[in-house]
Parts: sequence; structure tokens; C-alpha cells
Amino acid sequence: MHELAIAQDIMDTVLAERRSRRLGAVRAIYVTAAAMSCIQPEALKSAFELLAERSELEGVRLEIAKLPMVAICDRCGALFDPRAVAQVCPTCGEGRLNFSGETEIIIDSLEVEENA
Amino acid sequence: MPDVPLARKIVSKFAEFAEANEKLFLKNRVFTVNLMSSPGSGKTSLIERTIPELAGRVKMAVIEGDIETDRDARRIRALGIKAAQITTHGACHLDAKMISNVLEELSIDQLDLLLIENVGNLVCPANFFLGEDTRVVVASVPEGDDKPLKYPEAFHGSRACVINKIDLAPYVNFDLLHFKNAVRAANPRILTFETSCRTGAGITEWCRWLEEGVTAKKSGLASS
Repeated sequence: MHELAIAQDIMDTVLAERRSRRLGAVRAIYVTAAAMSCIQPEALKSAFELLAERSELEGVRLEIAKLPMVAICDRCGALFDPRAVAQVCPTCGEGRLNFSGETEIIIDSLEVEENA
Repeated sequence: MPDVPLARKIVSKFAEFAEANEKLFLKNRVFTVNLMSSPGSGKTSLIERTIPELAGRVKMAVIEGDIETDRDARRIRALGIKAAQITTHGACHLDAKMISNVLEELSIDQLDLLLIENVGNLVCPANFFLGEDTRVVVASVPEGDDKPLKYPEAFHGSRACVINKIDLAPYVNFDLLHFKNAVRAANPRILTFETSCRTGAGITEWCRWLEEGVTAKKSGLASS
């Protein structure tokens, strides 16, 4: 639901970057959303499309890589999908599982047309 | 088609408001707590219990975030405490600008403690820094003991977890140990409090922790 605000932040960042670096027309924006970023990629794409309408970013492709959440066993270090496992590490049967993941959203790169 | 590397972290346009709020809280030494939970977990009741417990020792005010109505702010004002109501009209979280807009109503320079009750939602508020010192997630027993596994983000970023309506544990399928393990999976350093706003259980411990935060902030050692 808050994806609209984030889509606006992405647009603002890209437009400012394009202006300051005198980049050509943007074709695609590549974004990585960390595991704890609370982003639903499809919702973010829809929000972006909506905001980009009739702007210089209309029709630009937003590619979002959402990193998966990972659970790490505090005893043996085994990694799991936390949504699929129980409270205790299935490998060593002893360790507790800790979720790991960052919260940030990063624009990795832009695909742009030659010259401004 | 050239690919231009950017590696730019998205900074919310609210970041500057959050920073300004944070500075204001620091300047006035106001310990600020952002309370997050699902709707109906008892955030307002917890604040209603907190007010008399801290009365006379801690000068406090409350910001109430709701989608509609000022019902919650009226509940707080009925106890003689300043409360500002933010109605988001649909938005699922509070942002730093909304907080900044109401700070003037609250005579922030005369406060020790500011409690911000976020919109009832366990997802989005976790993404929006308001300038607070610390975050607290409130989860109530009837919501089930698997909440932290389903919504790890809210628990991950919180300093403390209040397990509310603890008096209902015998009547619903709620395994406290299971819940605590799940909370610690999302955040190994989190503190937990078990409270009931009906019986008053655990309120003293919770308020003692808030007072420690107030004291730390006053002495310049803000806890986070």
C-alpha cells in the first residue's frame, strides 16, 4: 500500500540523476529491494506505471529484484527459507533460527538511449 | 543500449522531515516511541494504562494515527494528556511529515516522553522512520503465536515487543514460548513485555522500561 510513495521516490531519483548526468532517454530502471524492505514488486510496478503516465518516464520498464528472506541457524549456520521451516533448525535439530535481511531499496542501474 | 550504473539508495522524501523531527526530539530531550501493531491489538488501551502509571513523574503527550476519526485522541485527552490526532484518510502508515505538522500542538519543549501510535498495520509502518528513538511492536494473544513469522519486518526493526491481552492466553491456542522464539528469530535482541490492559499485569515493567528510556534521553544517552 505504501508502494506509491516509494515509486515517487524512485521517479524523483531517476529524473534528478538523468538531469545531472545528462543521460539519454531512460528505457529501464533496475531496482533491488532487500528482504526486509516490505516491498511487493507487482504493487510497486503498478504504482510506478501510474505515476509515470504522461511524464518523461512513461513506458519505462521497472525491473525489481526482491531478495528472499533467509533464516540462519545460530548453531550450525545452515540457511533456510524462513517461511517453510519450524522453530528449530532442521539440519542440526538444536539451533534457533534468526531471520536475516536488510531494509533498503537500491536503484542499481538505468538502461538509457545513446546521448542526451 | 548503454547500461548506466547508479547504485543509489532510495531515500524517502520524508527523510528530511524525519531528520528534523529527530533533531527536535534530541534538542528537547524528549524520548519518542513509535508503537506499531495490527488493528485491535490494544495500543490505545496500553497508552491509557501507561498514563496513570507515569503520572506525576513523566510529562507525556501522544500522537494518534488512524485512517479516520479522532476517537483515540479523545480517549487520551479524557485522561488529561495532550493528544494530537492524525487522520490519514486511507494511507496505511504515518510519515515524518505528518508528525512534523502536529508537533506544534504538543508543546514539545515541556515533554519527557512522546508516544506515537501508528496506524494499525503490521506491514507499512515498519518502512517509515518518523524520527523516533525507538520502535515498539505490540502483538496481542488472540492474533496467534505465529505473527512474528508472518510479519518479521515489524519485529525486526523494533527494540521491544509488548505481548498484550496476556490474560486471554488460557482461552486461545497461544503458545508463549513458540511466540517468543518466533520474535527472537526476527530479532534476537528484542525485549519482551507481557501485559494485560484489563488486569494491569505487566504494566509496571513496561512503564519502568519507558522511564529508563526517558532518563537515558535526558542524560544524552538515547537508547534505540
